[in-house]
Amino acid sequence: MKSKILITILTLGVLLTTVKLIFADKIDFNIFPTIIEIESEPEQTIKYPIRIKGTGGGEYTLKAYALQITDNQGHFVSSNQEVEYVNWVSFRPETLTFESYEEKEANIFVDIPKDTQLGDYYLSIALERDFPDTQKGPLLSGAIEIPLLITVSKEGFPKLEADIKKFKTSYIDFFNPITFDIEIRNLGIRKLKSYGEVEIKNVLTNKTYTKELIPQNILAESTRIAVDEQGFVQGNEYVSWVTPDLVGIYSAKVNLYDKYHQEDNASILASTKELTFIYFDFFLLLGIVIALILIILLVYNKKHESEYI
Amino acid sequence: MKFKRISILNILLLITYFSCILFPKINSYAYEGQSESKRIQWGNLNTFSDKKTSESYYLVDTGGQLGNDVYISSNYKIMAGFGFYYSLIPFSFVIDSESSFNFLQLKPNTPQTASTILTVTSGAAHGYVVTVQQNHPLERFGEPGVYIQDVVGDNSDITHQQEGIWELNSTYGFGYTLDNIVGTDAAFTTGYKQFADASNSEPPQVIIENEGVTRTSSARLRYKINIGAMQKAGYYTSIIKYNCTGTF
Repeated sequence: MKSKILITILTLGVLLTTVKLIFADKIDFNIFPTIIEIESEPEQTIKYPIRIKGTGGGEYTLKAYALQITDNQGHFVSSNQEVEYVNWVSFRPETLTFESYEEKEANIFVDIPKDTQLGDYYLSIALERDFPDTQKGPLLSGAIEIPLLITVSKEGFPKLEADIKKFKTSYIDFFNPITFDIEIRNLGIRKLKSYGEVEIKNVLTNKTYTKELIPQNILAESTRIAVDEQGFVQGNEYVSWVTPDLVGIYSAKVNLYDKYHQEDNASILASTKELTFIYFDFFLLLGIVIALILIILLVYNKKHESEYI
Repeated sequence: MKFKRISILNILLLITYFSCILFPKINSYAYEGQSESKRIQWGNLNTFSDKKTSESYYLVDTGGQLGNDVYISSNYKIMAGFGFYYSLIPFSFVIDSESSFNFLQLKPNTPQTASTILTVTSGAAHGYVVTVQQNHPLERFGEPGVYIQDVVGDNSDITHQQEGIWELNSTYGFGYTLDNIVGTDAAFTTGYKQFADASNSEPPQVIIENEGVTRTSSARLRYKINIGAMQKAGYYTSIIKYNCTGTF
């Protein structure tokens, strides 16, 4: 009898197990711009407006975190690492409430202290919202984050330093486009942009061609795979080039500049050794091979016939 | 017979000659940048001069010079957005739990599911990443340390990084799976995973991502829970955090 009562109590207890995991309907996050880069000197205060959209009925909060790079393709996560420079950033207002789905503006203030060491400081700006449950506290939380990259420099220091870690292509190619694997390494303590080009020279015709790199951010002490416009559009991890020649022996090298290279005072930051490769159009090659076979057959046929006569 | 044989060979030679001239043109490469979210056409691929427009963005014509949103004062310079392209689509993230819901009273060996739809439009140059993490396993409200454990799967191989099969009603715990609604950005669509547990120093895990400018990507995260007969009664909660970052 006792055991029956116990089982009944246990069963009732189990039936009351409730997981109040989510109590939410919809959270919208919308932020503009998608990246902010600041270059300034110590002891400066910078103010910049950002635009935010959100849905009604809840509070959105702006916060700054340290930024952690996760690979060499521009991915990052916010880090809970406690670093002093997170305190440089403040927001006014810090909390936003939306009546309905509407747009509001908030200002970011960056106060760079007087004795700041020159170099880069990477942060993430997060727009966060929790879904509070009136009885049990927050249950669902969301955030949208953009990078805030701060460079503290003075009188041209710290200098940009870089090299090209990888520059590869096939020794011989039969099809367009020809692809180059390029990886740029930032050796300095401030970020740089991949202003540069692949310079390709046809040794047979002495013609020179160039292919521009997209100026992506390469953060301090990290590497990045270089891409061109096509790589950017198609998500390729290489630079591609279409040769106008049917046959060519080429030498190629990469030049990396400290700024957009068509500016007057741009100078080369790093350069690679020349790579040599051959392009021979496949269908031209195929045609020549077939022609050779046919000529051999023709000659053989003629010889055979003369012997027969 | 002789004449015929020679003529056939001559014709073949003629074809070969023309093929040498014409075939390379087949191999010539015409580029048209196109994807689900973007479409760009170049007049001349090997120059950087024309305006390249798409429904989603345009590349800045200045070939690497700074873009539109550049502010320069005597003491600082601010660059907002990507210098080499200007996005025509916003950076937005929507977490939609369909309607207010929760897992109501659970019965042993009777799994329940619920879902959240995640939608992203990303004007960031190299796409976006959405991660998820929970603050701790489902914990009994008012009684810290009493949990519904994260599922380990029918073959005891499920972790926060590795998906696995969860079909048996005798497998208990809490986990999630994904499926695509718009696009193919979900990190996996078969099997279940545990939520990464911040209290156990497990880093947030990528659930959806795209490498390019993204007009609309949408995926459904489906929660699943199943308890055993010995699970203590009460309310169990945890905070699930979704985080969307634009890739630069």
